[in-house]
Amino acid sequence: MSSIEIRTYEGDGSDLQELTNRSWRATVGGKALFPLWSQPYFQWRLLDPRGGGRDFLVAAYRGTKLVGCILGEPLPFVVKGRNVQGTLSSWLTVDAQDPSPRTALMLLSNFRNRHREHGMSFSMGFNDAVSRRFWETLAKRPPHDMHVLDDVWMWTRIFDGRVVAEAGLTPGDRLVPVVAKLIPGLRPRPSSPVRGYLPEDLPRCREWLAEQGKGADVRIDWSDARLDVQLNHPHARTIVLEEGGRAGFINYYGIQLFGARPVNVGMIDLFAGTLSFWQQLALLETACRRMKEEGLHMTAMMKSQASPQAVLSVAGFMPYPANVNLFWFFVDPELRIEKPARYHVLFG
Amino acid sequence: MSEEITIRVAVLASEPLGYGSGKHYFPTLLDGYGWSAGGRSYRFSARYVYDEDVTEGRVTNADYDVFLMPGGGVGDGEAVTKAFKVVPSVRRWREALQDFVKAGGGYVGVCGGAALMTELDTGREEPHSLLERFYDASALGLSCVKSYYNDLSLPLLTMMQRRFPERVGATSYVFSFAPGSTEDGKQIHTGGVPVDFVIDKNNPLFGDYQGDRMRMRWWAGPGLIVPMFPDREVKVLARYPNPDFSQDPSTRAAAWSYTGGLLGVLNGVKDAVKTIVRDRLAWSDIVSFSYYLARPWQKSDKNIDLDCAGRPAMTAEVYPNENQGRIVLSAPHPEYMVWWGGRIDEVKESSSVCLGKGMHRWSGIAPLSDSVQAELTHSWWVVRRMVAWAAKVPDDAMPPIEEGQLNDAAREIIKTNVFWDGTLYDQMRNI
Repeated sequence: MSSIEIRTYEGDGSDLQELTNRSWRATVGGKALFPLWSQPYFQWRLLDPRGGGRDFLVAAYRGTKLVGCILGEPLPFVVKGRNVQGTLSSWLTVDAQDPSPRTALMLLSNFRNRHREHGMSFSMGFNDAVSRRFWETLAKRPPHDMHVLDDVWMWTRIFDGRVVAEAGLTPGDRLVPVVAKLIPGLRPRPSSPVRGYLPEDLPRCREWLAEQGKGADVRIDWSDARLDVQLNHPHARTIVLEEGGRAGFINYYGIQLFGARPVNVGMIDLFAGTLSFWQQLALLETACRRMKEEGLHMTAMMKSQASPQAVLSVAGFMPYPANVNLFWFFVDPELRIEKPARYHVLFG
Repeated sequence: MSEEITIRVAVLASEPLGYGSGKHYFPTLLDGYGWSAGGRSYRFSARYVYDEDVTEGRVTNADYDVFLMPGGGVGDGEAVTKAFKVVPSVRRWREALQDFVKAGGGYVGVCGGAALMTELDTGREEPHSLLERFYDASALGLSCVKSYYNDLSLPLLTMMQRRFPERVGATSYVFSFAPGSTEDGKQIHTGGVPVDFVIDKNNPLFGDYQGDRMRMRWWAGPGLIVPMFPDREVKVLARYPNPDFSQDPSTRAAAWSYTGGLLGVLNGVKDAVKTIVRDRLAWSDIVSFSYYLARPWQKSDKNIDLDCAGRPAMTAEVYPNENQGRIVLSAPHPEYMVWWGGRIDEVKESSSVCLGKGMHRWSGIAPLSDSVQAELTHSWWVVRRMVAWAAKVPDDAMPPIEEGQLNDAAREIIKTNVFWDGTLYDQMRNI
């Protein structure tokens, strides 16, 4: 058997889908809800030519076979008013059929070196109940540059209580969706047509996000190219409402989460603009209706500076602890954020 | 000598509500058409079949490769009548079509033919109007795709139409258009809108098409909804343009509401009788003529909002069993003529405005070519490819992208379905 080599990821996302789905089913399956990332998802978030390139897509190969990965995308951030470069990372996976104990550490070591070489100030990611122990152990080791920033909560709205309940792994998981489905909400129809995103919307979408993220300790400083990938890609949906001199948009995508069975989730990444409260409700309702049309069973949005809490709660969304931590690692010692942080980043 | 393969196409020709259709376009552009690719020769053989052929078991996989469901009075008529599943003949009809596809047969549904195949979502989530309920209930249960209408109702029969005239929805683009005019003074039948659909090339139908958009005639077909996590292979072939063309000043249509009450309907009946007697027409037209001639109507200050921007307009999917039957759904009518330029205006409000005479009118259309061949056959190759793909012709052996040729049947179409002869009857016959 050949030895493991750590190098830049070379594929088209199909092997990432195969590896992550198979390995997470084996290691996390039955213990926690986990995402079934697809090739189109990877092509959108990490492999689009308009994006950040492959410098932080670190893969472990045994010969030509992909047996592990940690993936990050470089982005400009604003941390406490300071412009820095960092990565959003996640998807740390080691092949369950080839579980060398050193593979994850080799991946991380290579990942760290690349951050140093490229002058990155940090990497930011999410851990779940299963991977948390690994990361906590790592945090105790020198150079002690890994810190948890927050316990992540999700705003959720259930469309199909039965399916979501069936995906639950505990009695509580199975009960909550049934109750949540009963939460009332104001769901007005917009009085002007909602349309799809157009490339000419890009500059103001960027402005709205910068404005929305102003109060955050850490936010993405979106470039035009990266924001265009986020908003203008077949895997994502971006809808726009313009009415009475005001405008705003919602950007979401579909992903399957797997618990006791798959559940189709519409994950809202971005929701910004200058719309009134009532107009935001109407745009959100349009997004939810379209999600239902496309067969999604629930929707979720990470509780953050990007999520308009009053609108979401009035629309019948319920806050729910995701049992996930937002943390950053390889952090430049000069950067400091206290938990709980205020953040405006993407959930990955 | 190359192998010759005949693709046998059953074109449904029943018009169960008595409302006409463009079914005759399909034999015109398909029957006898042939091409060669990959060392084989292909030829279409298109035959009309009727509802009784379906219910009595004469449309089988042994006889046909593809079942083609036209729109208009065929597909839309079936989308209404096949909702009555308690009727034994309806059940037999539905089961025969289901068996045909499950056994590996192809299905091509155009406009109402796509609506018949699919469940319906609306702008108010659940179907509300009677027409929406019929369209939803008639779904054949074979497709993972759903259709979408923001609103769908029959003019004159729309509930609360004075308060919500826009709830007539997409049918406003059917009922109806007065004959349109070209810049050089020709008067032509111009229902619906020629739309520049956004083409997806990741499929064998459009993979070698040069260009990102393809103009095809839209005549109130549905938006399509593809599930994010389908249970089968399904591809979007074309999408509606974004922004929505129903918001474009040149292609928007005002919502009209009927204000004539019972007296207006009686006037419609009276005028229908007069027309039938004067022109010696069939008495079977009395119902549709009365409907078309009921009046008056009032233009509202609201426009129709189709809410189709960016939605799929054409899809191709494979039925998920071992026989891999193929289903192609098309909201546009690629069999129909297109034109360039022009805009939709509303006719002047008067006591004589009725569906038969039209409420919207195209004007300023660019002059047509001398033979009208370019406009009439512009997208015929799309129909041929839809049928070929549904018949499992290999991806690299699709019919060529080419302008069609005019045969006698096509010349007859130009005479009767393109140019207006100046009579009200011709106008109503082409709604």
